[in-house]
Amino acid sequence: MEEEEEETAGFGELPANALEEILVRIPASARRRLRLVCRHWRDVVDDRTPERRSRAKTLVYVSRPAGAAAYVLDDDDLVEGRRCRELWSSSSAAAAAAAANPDRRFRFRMVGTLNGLLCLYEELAGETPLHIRGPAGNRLDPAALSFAYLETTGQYKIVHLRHLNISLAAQVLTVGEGASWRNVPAPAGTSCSLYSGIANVGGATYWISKDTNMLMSFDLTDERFARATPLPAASPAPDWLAVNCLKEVGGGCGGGMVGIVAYASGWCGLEMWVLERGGGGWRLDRKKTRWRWRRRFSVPPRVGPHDLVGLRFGHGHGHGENVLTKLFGDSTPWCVSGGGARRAQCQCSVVCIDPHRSFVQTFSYVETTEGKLF
Amino acid sequence: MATGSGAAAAAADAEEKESGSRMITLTSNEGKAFVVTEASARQSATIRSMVDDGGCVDKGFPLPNVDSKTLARVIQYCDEHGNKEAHTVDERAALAKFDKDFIAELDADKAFLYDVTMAANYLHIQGLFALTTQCIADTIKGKTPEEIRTAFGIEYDLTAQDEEEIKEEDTHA
Repeated sequence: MEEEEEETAGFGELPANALEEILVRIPASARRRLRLVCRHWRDVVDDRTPERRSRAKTLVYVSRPAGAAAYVLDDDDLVEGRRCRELWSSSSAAAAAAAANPDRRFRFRMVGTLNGLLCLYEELAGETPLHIRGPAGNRLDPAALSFAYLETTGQYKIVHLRHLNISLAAQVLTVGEGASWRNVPAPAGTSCSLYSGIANVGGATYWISKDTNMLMSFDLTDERFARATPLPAASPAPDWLAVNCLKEVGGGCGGGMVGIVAYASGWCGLEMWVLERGGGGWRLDRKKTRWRWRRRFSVPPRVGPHDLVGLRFGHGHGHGENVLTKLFGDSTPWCVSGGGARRAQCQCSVVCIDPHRSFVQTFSYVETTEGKLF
Repeated sequence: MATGSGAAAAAADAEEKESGSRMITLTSNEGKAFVVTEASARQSATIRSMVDDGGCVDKGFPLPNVDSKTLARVIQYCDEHGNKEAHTVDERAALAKFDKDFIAELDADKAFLYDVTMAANYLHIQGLFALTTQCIADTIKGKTPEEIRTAFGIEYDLTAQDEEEIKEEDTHA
């Protein structure tokens, strides 16, 4: 972990979450003017204070033998028993095909969502609905796929992290450019724990190494393997880690952060850590960046044993950050929301997403019409 | 324990431990130990979760990010809020007065206010963090960016181009 520079730092170097807490106490119009104080303040106002944030919502993707559907939770302040809005569902034709072929349980997988677009993978065909074939000679592993958007160039890319014998390679495809995959071998020893998820934010893909010690990254602009950051030391050592993007970039606003959930199974609760880039913001052209881990919140053990499904961060003043979990067995998914500095207590509420046994994923969904593909 | 022997006092200590009114040791980064009541320590969500996780209460909690001076001040806040009741109007008024005096004193020493804010953030002491961040926000209100840099000793690191961009964006906002 990088040395923290707080010993000698003054108010200009307040950690982003503390500065955010201060700035949200100032009226929005005055706050915008505070962007002229220094870079750090500008970045915090741009990236973390309410009116600049994209209106990201939680998208829950449910897949079951009869078909798949994506739902949106319209309100971050979850209300018990609240219903979700269906955004998409696999066609009845697809459902009929699945019914005729009962062995095939989960026909669709969702890869990601960006700027209002959903990227789905269809297992039967081994293709995405955009009819992009996998790289020649290998089948795509849906768990290794991720969907990224480069703000600087407006390109959408699909990244497939593939283990070839013992080494890792990134296979990259730019959507709409003749569908040719580029293969980028990783330096020796690079690995990927697919169970922990893959996140795309700020022009890079992030994942956790197999030994669960490092947060790895891949620069999507230069298409090369980039920085590896040690994960925060958690005590007790978590059984399971999940990486996800917090606050996806939407419609040209701000940036995002990489969030890590350290998860100890059973009754031990879970912790959410965030990797923050201090000073330089999330734009790629700024070199002067410092990185540090912050603990955003922990979910108390009393909530019960969870089967972690996913996480996302909420947005806006007074909104919390949600971790979607599922109690062991075939129960309804839970949504746990915590609130960094703003909420003293983690709140738990049950949101009925799907009563059937299903495969559930969560994503940050930005409702916008700006995401025109072609 | 006015009349108790050493053994009786030890027994009483053990009993106290059982009943949950334990004492907890917090150690600053300078190695200075502070013994506080569990109720006081529980003001910190960080320590609370460690205690509830069955952490090493007996060994105490080292706080490598907090110096003695800051920790002493933070404990002053935690003692007041952890050990006193806030059920009646009078009790709440007394706590509010404590907060007011507490923050007025910190406000006079900005570097110390910064340290206490950092400690409250690190230890997740909700009330104290709200108190210090509000104080800083109040200082900021009504000041120009230039005045804020002076007040907080912030280095100006925006380029002329950055500044232009910000002003440009603001006019379009």
